[in-house]
Amino acid sequence: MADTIVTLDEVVKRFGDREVLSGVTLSVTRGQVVCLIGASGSGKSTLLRCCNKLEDIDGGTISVFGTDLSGDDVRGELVRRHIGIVFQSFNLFPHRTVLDNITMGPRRALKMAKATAEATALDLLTQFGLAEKAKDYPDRLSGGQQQRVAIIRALAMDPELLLLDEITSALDPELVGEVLDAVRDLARSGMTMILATHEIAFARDVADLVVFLEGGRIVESGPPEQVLMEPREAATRRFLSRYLGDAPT
Amino acid sequence: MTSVTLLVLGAVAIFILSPGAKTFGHYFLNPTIFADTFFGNSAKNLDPMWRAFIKNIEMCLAAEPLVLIWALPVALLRNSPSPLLAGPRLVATAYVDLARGVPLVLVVYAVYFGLPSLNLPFISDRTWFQYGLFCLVFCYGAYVSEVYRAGVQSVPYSQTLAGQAIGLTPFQLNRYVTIPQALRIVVAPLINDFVSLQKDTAIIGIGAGIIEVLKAAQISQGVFFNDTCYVAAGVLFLIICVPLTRLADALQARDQRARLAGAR
Repeated sequence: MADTIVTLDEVVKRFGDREVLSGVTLSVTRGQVVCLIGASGSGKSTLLRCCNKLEDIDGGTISVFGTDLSGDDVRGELVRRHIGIVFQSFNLFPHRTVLDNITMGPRRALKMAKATAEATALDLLTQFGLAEKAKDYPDRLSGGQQQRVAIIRALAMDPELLLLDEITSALDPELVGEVLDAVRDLARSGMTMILATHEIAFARDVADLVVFLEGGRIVESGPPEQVLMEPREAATRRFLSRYLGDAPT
Repeated sequence: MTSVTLLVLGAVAIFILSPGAKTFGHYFLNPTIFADTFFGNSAKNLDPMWRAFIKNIEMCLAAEPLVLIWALPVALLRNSPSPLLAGPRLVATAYVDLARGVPLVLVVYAVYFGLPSLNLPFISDRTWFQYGLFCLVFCYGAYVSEVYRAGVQSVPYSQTLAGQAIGLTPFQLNRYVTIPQALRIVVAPLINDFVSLQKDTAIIGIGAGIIEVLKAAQISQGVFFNDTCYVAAGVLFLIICVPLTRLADALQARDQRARLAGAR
């Protein structure tokens, strides 16, 4: 088996007195694509944010690349330099051009030279078909283009792990395809990814492992053909039956 | 538009048709006295008022940059969530409450008459100008720090998350993500505070033994026994304030448009 880069052991996370994650255990190996599915509020986004220490956990352990994130002495920004995350609402910096959005992390956090950072950014923009948008401000771009820029911004840090948090949920339906295609290409290139998604058909297509969450617990996990096609648990079947009406089979 | 014109004309008419209109015109809107006050009258040994106004301008120009700088650490301290800074944060909050709560004129009295009587080496022998700067920076620093704070808080949390996501340190996050966006938001309110500060330089004259515009008006009043000199002082302030207020409005409108264009 390939090397394990993320290990969650009995992870508990609370917001106030509400428990959002109630003992989640999961491991992700290099090159694996893991899809988290589940209703809104099931803990998918929180789980992702715990993996790069945007949220601190209240119980259990998370180790990423062999570093235990639960320690108080671990600096979040150092962890996040190896882990990219893309948000549902893009979160591009509106006061910076597309190019500056992408080069900010490499230049400031990684201290890369401006010319090197810009060359890398332009390569990525070309690869994603956005080269002519480099000098534009984010508000000139469509939602799909903005989200692809957000993916590039994460990739520019040369991450070893990419977290995608429902990245198509804020997009108009006709723009979802271009973003999913970009993610599919990344999966083929061997990028390790954990993605929270409502796109069941897409999950079946790209995932190596599908994890179904409900109420902050993993109800069922396994290869997509099993979890999505022949779920063992009644809760998984209930969840899927609500989505299968929308999703192509 | 027409109703506004009517209202203005009506107000003017009330003044013109009032029984004391002639007396009012003589004592408040006297063109000769206005000119003598404004440009000076060597026969009556009266200096031009615009020259006294230069002192007010110097004071506000010197105070404003200090206010902008001083307010920044106060705002950052008040916004900081760190438990290590709880003590300083309390001091900053107390300062803001005090400086915003006490009228500038009382601060002026306390500084100009209180500090010299302390007989301390450095503190008690400053010039009127330095005391004036202190009063203005003390009061306006609190207002401007609140403007900064509101600006920083109006940058959405999602921007902080995005900055953290690319591995920025807390300092870099402020420097490259939060503060640049907050500055755009606060430019117009800052100009409004500057307008206000510019007017309040007149209050410094109450404590400082110097002839700035308000004192000049009082002197002129003593010479002519006519209140037109106060109108002249008002006009001087308006010459500065009105363009600045228009600028603030224009910037606010531009910001509004930019935000609408970026809306989704």
